[in-house]
Amino acid sequence: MSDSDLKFPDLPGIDITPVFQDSRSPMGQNIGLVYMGFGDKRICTGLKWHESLVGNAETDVLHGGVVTAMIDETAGGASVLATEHKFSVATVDLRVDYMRPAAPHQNLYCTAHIYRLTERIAFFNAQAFNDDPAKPIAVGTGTFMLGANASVPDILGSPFKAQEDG
Amino acid sequence: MGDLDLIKNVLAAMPYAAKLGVTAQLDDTGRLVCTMPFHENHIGNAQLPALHGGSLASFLEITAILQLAREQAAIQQVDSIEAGRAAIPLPVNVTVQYLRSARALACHAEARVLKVGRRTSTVFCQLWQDDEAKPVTSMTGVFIQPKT
Repeated sequence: MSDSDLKFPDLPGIDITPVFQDSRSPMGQNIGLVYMGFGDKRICTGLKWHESLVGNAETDVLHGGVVTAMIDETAGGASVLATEHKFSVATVDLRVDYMRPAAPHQNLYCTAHIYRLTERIAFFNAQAFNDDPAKPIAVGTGTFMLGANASVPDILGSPFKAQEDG
Repeated sequence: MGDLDLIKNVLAAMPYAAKLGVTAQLDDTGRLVCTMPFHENHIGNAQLPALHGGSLASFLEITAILQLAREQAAIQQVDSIEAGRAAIPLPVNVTVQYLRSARALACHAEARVLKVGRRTSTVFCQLWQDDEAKPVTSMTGVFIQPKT
């Protein structure tokens, strides 16, 4: 089960194109996060269960921090996408509700949506789920600051841009 | 059995804490301070560089769990890794504030249990790097007690 391939479920308005892997941050790569698709101001990601990500060796449930990291990374990608890659972003705050434990040995998926974009702030909501998007294991909400620093998001820019234009 | 042994048993029951390199120490006053060493894998923005919000939130949640498990240990015996597993509280939600950019340095964190209730407990946690007076990230988490 643990080495089953990631397969993002069909969702309306989501183009499942497994690209932009260069966009991942080092931490995203560290937890094995994969960018799986995108939509309007929306990013979809996947993650394989791994024993090094477990929060309790008795239950094999993923640590809450893994889910939070996944939501943060996915929402950060969605923020950059929503700003048309003009800005680097930094998390201002986030809240994650853990609604049920992540199923052991199963893939985890996440979708994050920017529901409001201002000049300086992106507001997101996000859901993480195992196989059924209607049964989230966690939901997250929070904000990103745009142009928080002078770094230009090259790494995030080109792959997304190519996909959007294509 | 000392407090630190107990904390280490809980830490050892969390493989993700080992992946992040989290360690726990008690200072002279008995205060629990956790440390996450700098590692390139924890970076979110490689150009600055700045640590990832997810690695900071993960570290804070681990610190909160250890402090909560420690305060519950008066009730429970955590004398083995198996008992450590049983002592890990389940998170209900976490709220994280990113106050300053986290640089390519080690992180330290301390947690304060605000309330232990019969069903839920609330923990506040703060993270700093080289200057404790300048918090980098803070978190409030709500946890449910593990079933006994």
